[in-house]
Amino acid sequence: MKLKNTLSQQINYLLKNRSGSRLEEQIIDLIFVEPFSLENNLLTQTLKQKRKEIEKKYDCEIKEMYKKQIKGEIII
Amino acid sequence: MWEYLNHKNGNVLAVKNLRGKNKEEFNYSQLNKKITKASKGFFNLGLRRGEVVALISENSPRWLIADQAIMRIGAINAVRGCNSPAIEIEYIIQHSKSVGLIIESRSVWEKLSIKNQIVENLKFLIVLEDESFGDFLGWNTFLEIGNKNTSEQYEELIDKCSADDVATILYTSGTTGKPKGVPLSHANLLHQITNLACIADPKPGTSVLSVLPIWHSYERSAEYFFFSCGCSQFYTIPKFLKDDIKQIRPTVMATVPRLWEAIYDGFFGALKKMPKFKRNLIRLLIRNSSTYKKNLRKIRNIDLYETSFISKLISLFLVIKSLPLHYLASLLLWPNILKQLCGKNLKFPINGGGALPEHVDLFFESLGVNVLVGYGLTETSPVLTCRRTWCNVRGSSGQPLPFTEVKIIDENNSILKYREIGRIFVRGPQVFEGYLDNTQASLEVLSIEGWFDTGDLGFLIPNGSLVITGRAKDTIVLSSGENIEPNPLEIEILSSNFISQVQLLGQDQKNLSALIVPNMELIENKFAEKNLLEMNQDFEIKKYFKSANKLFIKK
Repeated sequence: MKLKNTLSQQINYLLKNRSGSRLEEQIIDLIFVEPFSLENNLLTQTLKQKRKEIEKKYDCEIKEMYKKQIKGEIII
Repeated sequence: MWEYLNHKNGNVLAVKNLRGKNKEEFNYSQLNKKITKASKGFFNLGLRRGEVVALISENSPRWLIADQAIMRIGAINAVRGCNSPAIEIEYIIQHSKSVGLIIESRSVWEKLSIKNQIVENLKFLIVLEDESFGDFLGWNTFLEIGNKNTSEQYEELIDKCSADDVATILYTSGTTGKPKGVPLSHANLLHQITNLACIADPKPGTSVLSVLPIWHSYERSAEYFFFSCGCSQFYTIPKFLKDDIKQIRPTVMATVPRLWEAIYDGFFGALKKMPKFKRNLIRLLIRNSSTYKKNLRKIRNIDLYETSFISKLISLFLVIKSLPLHYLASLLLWPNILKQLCGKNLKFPINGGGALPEHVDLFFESLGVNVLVGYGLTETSPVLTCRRTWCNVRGSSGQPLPFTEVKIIDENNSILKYREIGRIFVRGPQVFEGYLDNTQASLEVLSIEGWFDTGDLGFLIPNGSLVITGRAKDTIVLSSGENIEPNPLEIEILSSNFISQVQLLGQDQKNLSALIVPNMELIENKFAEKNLLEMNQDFEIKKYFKSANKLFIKK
């Protein structure tokens, strides 16, 4: 889990220091996933990510993650 | 408009600032006088029809006066909030070719970096809430200028203004640092003012609590509309919303989903602290009322999906079963809870800027608050559709406003049937005519026949209500209504060597999050040196990051 924290801090650090960054542009959590590739049909022919399909594939995990967030807040 | 309102409700409180630095309040006749004075002031400073003034400030009565004064002489304002990054504000001032600059406070000016370059092109600089400093005129000094006599030209100028003139330029939130300018004409805004009446018809003197930033098209059109009804606007800020909502007891509020979620969370937070018996009783009653309302909706045919005759019968049975308890609860309990939550007078709670989560929607419905969810974009001034009190289909964004056409098309440009999902195109008097100095972007979204591509996906149901299902564009809209372009952020994130692919998430959520495809090879390498991973501080991460960079290059 430490890896997760370090990475998400790193991401937020990068986002914060981007020129013209805004307060909302910070992530609260992340999920590790399999690479997006042509084979698993998550990339287009021009190697762009198929955002809709990717979100659909990890739908459960994403929902789970946000649920955890909501619970965490109430405890705090 | 202000002259008319002056005659009709001169003595009605128009606007009051509850939380700003200067807690001013004006009635309609005072407001009208101030606007006239300010518009003469702008005239005397050399502002003319068609010229642009950048207005960088949050809500305040002074904002309103400056805004209306600029519009009265046919000039245009480009608006933005104080919290935008300096680079964005600078871009807006230059891109809109502003001849004047109005800022809320000294701090806004201090964060800009290319001051000289900006001042060169300006006829005047005004600061709203602070005293005069440097080249900036303080508000009262500025109004003095309006006391001087104006030439006949001033009257001529006002007569010349027409509805097709551009009234304001709004900038879309552009994460790239180069937001697109959306010019809206007086006609665009007037369509909203005249047609929002079919959603809410507040009487003069009705209290309106406004909490959203005025430089968003949604709050802006809503405010203009409420002023045109002679309502009393109270300005507050999100931090004090909870107190002010109880004090003001607003009848009308323009809000975003985030606010409703906050009230909802707050309620269930408080519920947890109650004694067990009371808690379970309230839970039971809410569930009961939810069943009642949900099934009543099915019978009345204002549900999202078609209901068969048999399921209607079941619903009817459930309605009858839950009626007595619901009746009791709504008589004894709900009014008290509502008083605690949002002041009991709330009659037209309008929601825009994003979809309301179903559970929140149902919760308020159970308590008897009919949230009116609307849909629109900056480019459409913004309201396109909105739920009506008499046809409030939960889950939908309501029926189109008058004179507004909506069509749903598939990839081959053919029009789809009811309940088939496709891209939403709209046409109507509130749709803008193209981005400022950006023909290419305009051509991408506007067709020759005037159809505007919203970039959203959705479907229509037979009573004309529009249901939004997602976005065709990549833009992520958080539940606060904030738009985020994920691509530039993702590119930035990819600059980390540990991440090979990334996708940002957060549509309709409070915060962003990310799907990460880690660079396993590198991470496993690093895992050997466990200490490094324990580093938390920003500067240490930076160091860590640097050493990692070196590592990568060596490879």
